[in-house]
Amino acid sequence: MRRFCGVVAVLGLALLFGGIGAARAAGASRSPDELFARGYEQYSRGDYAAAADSYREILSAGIRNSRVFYNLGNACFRRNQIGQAILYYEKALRLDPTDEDARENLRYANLRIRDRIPADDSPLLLALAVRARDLLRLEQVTRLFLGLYLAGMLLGAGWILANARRWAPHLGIAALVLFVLSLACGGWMLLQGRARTSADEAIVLVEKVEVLSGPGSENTLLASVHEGTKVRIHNRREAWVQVTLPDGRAGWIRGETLGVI
Amino acid sequence: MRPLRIVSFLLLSALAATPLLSQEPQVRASVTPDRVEEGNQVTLTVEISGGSQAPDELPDLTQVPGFILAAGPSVSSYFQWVNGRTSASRTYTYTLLPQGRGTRTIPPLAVKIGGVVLRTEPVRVDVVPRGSLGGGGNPPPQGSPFADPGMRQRLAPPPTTPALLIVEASVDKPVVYPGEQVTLVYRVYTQFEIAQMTLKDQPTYQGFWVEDLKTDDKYETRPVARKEGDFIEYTVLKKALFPTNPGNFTIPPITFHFAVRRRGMDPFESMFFQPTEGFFRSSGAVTIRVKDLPEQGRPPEFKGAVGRFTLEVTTDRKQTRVNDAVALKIRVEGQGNINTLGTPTLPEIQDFKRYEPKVEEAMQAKGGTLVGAKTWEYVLIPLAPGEQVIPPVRFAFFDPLTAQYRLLQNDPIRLSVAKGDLAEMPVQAAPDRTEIPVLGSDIRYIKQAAGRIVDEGTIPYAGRGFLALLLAPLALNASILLITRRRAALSGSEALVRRRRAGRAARKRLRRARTHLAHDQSGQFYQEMASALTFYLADKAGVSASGLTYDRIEEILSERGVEPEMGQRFRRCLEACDFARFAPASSGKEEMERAFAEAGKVIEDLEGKVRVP
Repeated sequence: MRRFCGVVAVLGLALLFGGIGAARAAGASRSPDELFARGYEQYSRGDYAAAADSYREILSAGIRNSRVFYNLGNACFRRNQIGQAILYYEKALRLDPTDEDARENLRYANLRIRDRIPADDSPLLLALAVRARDLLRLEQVTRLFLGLYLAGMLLGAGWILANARRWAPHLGIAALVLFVLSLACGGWMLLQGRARTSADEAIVLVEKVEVLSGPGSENTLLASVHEGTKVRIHNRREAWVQVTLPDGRAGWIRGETLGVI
Repeated sequence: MRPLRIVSFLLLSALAATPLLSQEPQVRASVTPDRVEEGNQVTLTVEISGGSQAPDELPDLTQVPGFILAAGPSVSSYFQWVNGRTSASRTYTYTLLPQGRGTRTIPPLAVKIGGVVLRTEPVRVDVVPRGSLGGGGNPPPQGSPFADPGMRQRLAPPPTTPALLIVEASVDKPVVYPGEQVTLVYRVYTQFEIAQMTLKDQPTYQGFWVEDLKTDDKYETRPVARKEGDFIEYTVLKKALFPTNPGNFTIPPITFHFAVRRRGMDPFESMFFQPTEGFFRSSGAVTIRVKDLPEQGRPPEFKGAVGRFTLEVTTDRKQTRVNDAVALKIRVEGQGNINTLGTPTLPEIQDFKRYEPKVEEAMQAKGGTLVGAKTWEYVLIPLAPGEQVIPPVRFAFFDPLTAQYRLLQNDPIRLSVAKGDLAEMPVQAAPDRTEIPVLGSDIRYIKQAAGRIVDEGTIPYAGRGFLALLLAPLALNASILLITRRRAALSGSEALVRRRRAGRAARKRLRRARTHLAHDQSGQFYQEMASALTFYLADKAGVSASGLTYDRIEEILSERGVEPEMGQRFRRCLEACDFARFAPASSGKEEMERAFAEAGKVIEDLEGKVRVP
């Protein structure tokens, strides 16, 4: 029976530390690390256009990286492409919600856009929940969940094997607590995963875009929004996207004017 | 005698009064001369004739357009009674100074006498340019001042020409910038000997900041030749004017009263008296155009200084300690209106506490222009040690000569601040601490790679491996649970069977022992007895029968909740059997019977008393 405990522990630890990062991207024609270093050097020189190209090359290889998005956002900001800058800061935050730099620069860039962003008036509890959600990166939350879950399982196995020994009940309670914690952590993980994968928000990338009442230029003009404004995507029909504006109004915008976060 | 006098007085009064009362009063206005040079005075006479009554109201001459009332009125009355005809008049004399050139008209003047308002005819005065009358007109040459031989010698005017007195106001430049100095000079040209000169009223200079340039009591005097003749020129007033706003401004005329010496023809009289004669003179008005300062090239530091300045910034020392005050002196020196100089732009100095400056200014006239210096002395208290830099002080001014703005700034001043003595440092220093100032804002800088650049966009829990990782321990635990349950079930049933059969098996062994007893086989009897007892206990307790020592038996019994006395009995019984087994000589039939009965009783008593482990 002792052997069982050992097997479970070894298996758990091996999976915990080895398994997560197993599937890593294969190398591209030019290594992303080289491109990243080159972009840094170009940015330091003040050649923001070249730096942006370097970072875009990394992205075109299918690599989504929060640092690359952040640096690309800075390069776009320096070139006065506020919409692009906001889009990339948002993307960086999607991948790493703990990045204070990206959050600060996003706030700074948002000061420069033309449309007024309504103040965040969500209830305190919800705001706190969103804050809590962004305390850790998805990878960290996943690791935490797995750790709790496997530890709980281990203790559970111990409890089963302890049979009728006197300390068996303590083991059982500890296993139960860990299991409940791991469940909560799993919920957190799913929440963050959904935030990372959702493609329901977009940034206006052109200077000014018209919002129509339907998918087609013959529809009534409802409003016009400007570069950098964040909209929520609901529906797509051909080249048109149904969006909700920051003030809550809905309308249709041509899809190519938007950058989906 | 007395009545006679009264009668005669009444008679006289009646005679005198009758014609007076019957006569209608008349008013008449006249001006002498009616043709006058600019700046010279005229005398207006208002005569009320035909009545001795004093007028209730006199004409108001202060508001006559085109004229300044210099003096008056002086009153003289005239009463005549000749041959029963009476004539009476009152004369009011005013001294007026006409303004400007051309024909000036004194409008009808209203005089109220005995409730009746009488009006004069309008009177015309021609004002001609200076010198066009050839020095004629006034002052009335009665009692000629040329009686003074000295004056005549000095000036030597043509004997045919009457003497002249002219007041003139002039500015050095008619078009200026705001803040630029205009020098206004009042000069008196005279061919008389002036005994006394008084300013009639202090003129007001609206739109200007005024500084007096003349300081000494003596007037500048020099002989000059004008087209009217030779004069003595007195510079009586010199003022520096600094326009405050752009626009066209007129400096009003200034009026002087002169008392000129004249000598009577009587040399004896002139020896003791120096009779004087007074008259008024006024200058012309002067117009100054003030241009706007140009917008182009105006530095933000410009605070209205106009002129030519130099900037000097010094500190009283270069080395100090924390909390040891340093004096920062900013000195602006040059031509211009020092009074209105704004404080030079002192940049924000970090790590220093700064007090309000002590301001000193000094001005003086130098060659007709105002020069001076203004000093701002700041006390700076260093709050932090190290190499501190006081950034450049900026001062901007407008140079009217080149019509350009100029920005002055000094080199940054380096101060080395040593750490103060901790013991000397006042505890109150803490409240002086300031917020870290916000000097600018920008995005945060780009990041360097921390490790490899990898794809972070994947969802770590989306793969099959993750699911396997979740399910594997679950399955493992489930199987562990199953196996242990099964084992427990198995081992549990075996023990149960043994327990249940323990009694029966013991009785079976006892029956076999009884057979051995009947056959008097004591060795087999005791062996059967011992095994009956031992197996009974082993079955009941669920333990193996082999290797059960007496101590272990007692331990098991006490573990399973059997009373110690009962345990003792069991042990004694088993000991007796074992003893009899290995020592057969001592065992008789009777004893065997007793042992048999005891063993049966012990097993019977133990039944139901051994607890399930």
